[in-house]
This record gives sequence, C-alpha cells and structure tokens, in this order.
Amino acid sequence: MKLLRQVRRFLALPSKPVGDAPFRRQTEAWREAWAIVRAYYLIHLLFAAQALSWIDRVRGSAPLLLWPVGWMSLAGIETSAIAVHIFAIAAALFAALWPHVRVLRALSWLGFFEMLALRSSFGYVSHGWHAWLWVGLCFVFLPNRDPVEIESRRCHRQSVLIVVWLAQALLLLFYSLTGGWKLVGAAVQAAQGESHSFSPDALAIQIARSLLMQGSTSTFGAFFIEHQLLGWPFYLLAIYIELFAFVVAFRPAIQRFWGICLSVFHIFIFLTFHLDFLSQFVLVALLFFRSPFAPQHWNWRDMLRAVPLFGAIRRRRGSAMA
Amino acid sequence: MQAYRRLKILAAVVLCGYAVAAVAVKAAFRHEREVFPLFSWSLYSTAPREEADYGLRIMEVGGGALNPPLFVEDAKTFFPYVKQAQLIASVQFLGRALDSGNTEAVKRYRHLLERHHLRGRGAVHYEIVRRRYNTLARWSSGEIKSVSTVATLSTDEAAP
Repeated sequence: MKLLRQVRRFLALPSKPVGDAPFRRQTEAWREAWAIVRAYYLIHLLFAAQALSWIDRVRGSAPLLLWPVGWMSLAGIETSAIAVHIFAIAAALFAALWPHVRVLRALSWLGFFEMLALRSSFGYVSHGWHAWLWVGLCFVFLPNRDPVEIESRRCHRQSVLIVVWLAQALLLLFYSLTGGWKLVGAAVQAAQGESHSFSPDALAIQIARSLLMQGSTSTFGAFFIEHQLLGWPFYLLAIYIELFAFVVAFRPAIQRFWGICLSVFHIFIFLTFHLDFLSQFVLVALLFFRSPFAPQHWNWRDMLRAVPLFGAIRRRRGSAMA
Repeated sequence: MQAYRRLKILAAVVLCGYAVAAVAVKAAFRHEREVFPLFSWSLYSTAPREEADYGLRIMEVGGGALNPPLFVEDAKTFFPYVKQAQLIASVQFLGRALDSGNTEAVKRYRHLLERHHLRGRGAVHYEIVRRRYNTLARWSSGEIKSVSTVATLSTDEAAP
C-alpha cells in the first residue's frame, strides 16, 4: 500500500484541501460515478443489439476459432453463434435494468466476451472493442449492493469510485501504450536512418497506408497527404496526448479537458484515416466528460499546472521566480 | 481488510499486469500483436516510407478474367461486405506461411480466406504476391516498385 501511495504521489500533483465538506463531495462523486455505470450498461445493450448483425457473417463461413469460442466447433458454429448472441443480448438487457447486481454484470460481460471472440475469429482480432470489454470487466467488481445501500455507507461509495477510477486509468493506459510504442518505433527507425513517427511526413504516410489498406478515401485524408507540413504539428500533438494519457488518471483537474482532446483525436482519425473507433469514442465521453473526480468548475490555472510535461516546466519556473 | 482497500490493490495489479502483458505480447508475437483479449496497443508505431508486404491479386472472378488484375483492396465492387482489416491481415498471415513453408498454417489461412472473405462470387483465381512500394507514391500514382508471385491459387466455389 505504501508503494502504491508513492506511485500515486509521483504521478499526481501536491493535493489541495478538498474543502470543508469532503464527505459531501464523495457523495456527489459517487452519484456521478453511478450515472456513468448506468449509462455504460444502457449503451452496452445498444451495442449488443447492433452486434446481432454479426451472425450473418458467420453463416456458411469457416472461422479460425479463438480459444474462448473453441467449444463452438463441437456444438456447430452457426447454432452456437445464434445461441451466444441471444445470451449476450438477454444478459445485456438484464444488466441495463439492474446494473447493481454483480451476477448480471458478469453475465453481460461473458456474453460480450464470447461475441467478440467469435467476431475476432476471422484472422484479425477486433481491437476496436477491447477497451469496452475491459471496462466491462472492471465494472464486474463494483459492489453487489442496492444503490440505496451503497449511498448509505462511505466504504461502499468509495468502492464504486475506485472501480470507476480503475476503468478510467485502464482506458488511459491503452492510449499511453499506443503512444509509447510510437516512441519505441521512432527510436528504432531513427537509429536505422529511416523515416519515423516524428518525421514531417509521418502523418501523410500513416494516412496513405490506412487508406490504401482499406481501398477507400476520407474527408481530409488527401489534404493532409498533400500538405504534409500542415499535418505534422497535429500528429506530434496526437502522440503527446496519447503518451501522457495515463498521467491524467492522477490529475483530476485536466480529466475533462483530456477527454475532449481524445474525442477530437478520434474524430480527426475518422476524418483522415477513415477508421472508426466508435466504442472507444463513447467510452472516452462517458468516463471523462462528467468525470466524478474532476473539479466541479473549470479552473484554468489548476489545469495549466496539471498538464503533463508543460505543467512541470511552468511549476518549476514559478518556484524559481518565488 | 475493507473491500475498498482490496479494490485498490486489485486496481494496481490490473494496471501493472496489463502493461507487462502488453509488452510481453508485443515481444513474443511480433506479427499478431495480440493474444485475445490482450492487445499490445501497438498501432501505427512505425512510419516507413518504403513498405514491403504481401498482396492478394485477383486474376479471375466467377469465370471472368480481370484485365488488368486487381489487388483485393481495389476490388471492393466484387466483395463489398469484406472487412478489409481482417482480409489484409489474413493475406499477410498466408503470405508468411507460404514463404516459411508452414503447410498447416497455409491450409488454415487459405481456408479462412477462401471460405470467408472471397466467397459468394463463384471461383476466384488469385495470386499471393510479395510487394515493395513507396507508400506515398503508391497512394498518388498507384506505382508499385516490385511484385513477385509467391503462389497462384483458386477457390473451389461453384458459380453463384
């Protein structure tokens, strides 16, 4: 626990007193967190219903079944696929109705896990849904209690907040991993004298690769391929936003702002790369636009202090001047 | 121990465990990048100007020859419902399996490609090729520096 505290203090900023009513703030925060959980399961139901169309792709097909759906080869793929989808949508429906019941949350996760495993059994794992799946797994660990009971006890409210924070941190970790691999890839490519993620034409190359692979076009893809220098700052900014995302889990002052940045980032990806990360976009909005840990009012000074890297420079300058 | 203290430890274990697993997945499975449901999150990590990959070039669909032959990315009119990312990934796996002489993997990926991605249009006569190209030049002019055939294959589907 001591080590965890030290890590948290290293990544977070020196904390300010919460005010004269910390427990009232905790109650408000838990209500916001619970609203996120309820919304997650309603949207989950929508996604599960949409996924029914995946059944058609399985008909008469020959998937390379991944381990979670390996049993389908014994029971018949088409019949099993229909059964899994019906199970998943029924479990999602019950979880949307009673999100406080742990067994329903677990079953809805299991249904989606099976559905996603089947969908990923065609030579390529559908990683656009990974974050949704992992956040669902985190939510299984929410207290198995009625909301009235949760609200009545501080330790239950705290449990809800920790689980929602874990979901946020895990999602942000995924972005940081993506940014980190870009850094590693750039270092390797630069050492070999090749173009890399920090080259002025990196964004143009990535957009062209994506569009060539899909055999498609995008709204602004051609523009950024032809005007490489205009896209360069956007790409550097995108790497920065990805790389330092995990730190934001420990800095509530900028959680909403980072959520907005990540949403804009996904819109930009769609308009240029023609890649749609719908579930991830929804998750970002859900977990960060009304983050239960964010201050209730925007405070630009606190936000600037909390911005990774640049905030530290600003803080150091401030203390040097003092 | 209070439940929320246990949850704090769980949170730390999940976050550290996932980060370690992501690195391990990337290191151990260079091409696959994922062991479901773990993913390395290595997306667009490199930006090579020169690309070398495998391509699927369609020569004939349902008895009709294509002149000139089309790479599958450009043949969406024949296979409009195909998920391109899945198809391209399968082509890369098949190409690597053919090059390494892994007959078991060739059988599996060919089966997937032909029974899932290339179905519904009758017999498809196609080639798996090795390609080298400059990404930006191919995007602007379609230029591919070199193409060499790895294998010529056909699906056995009857005409629709």
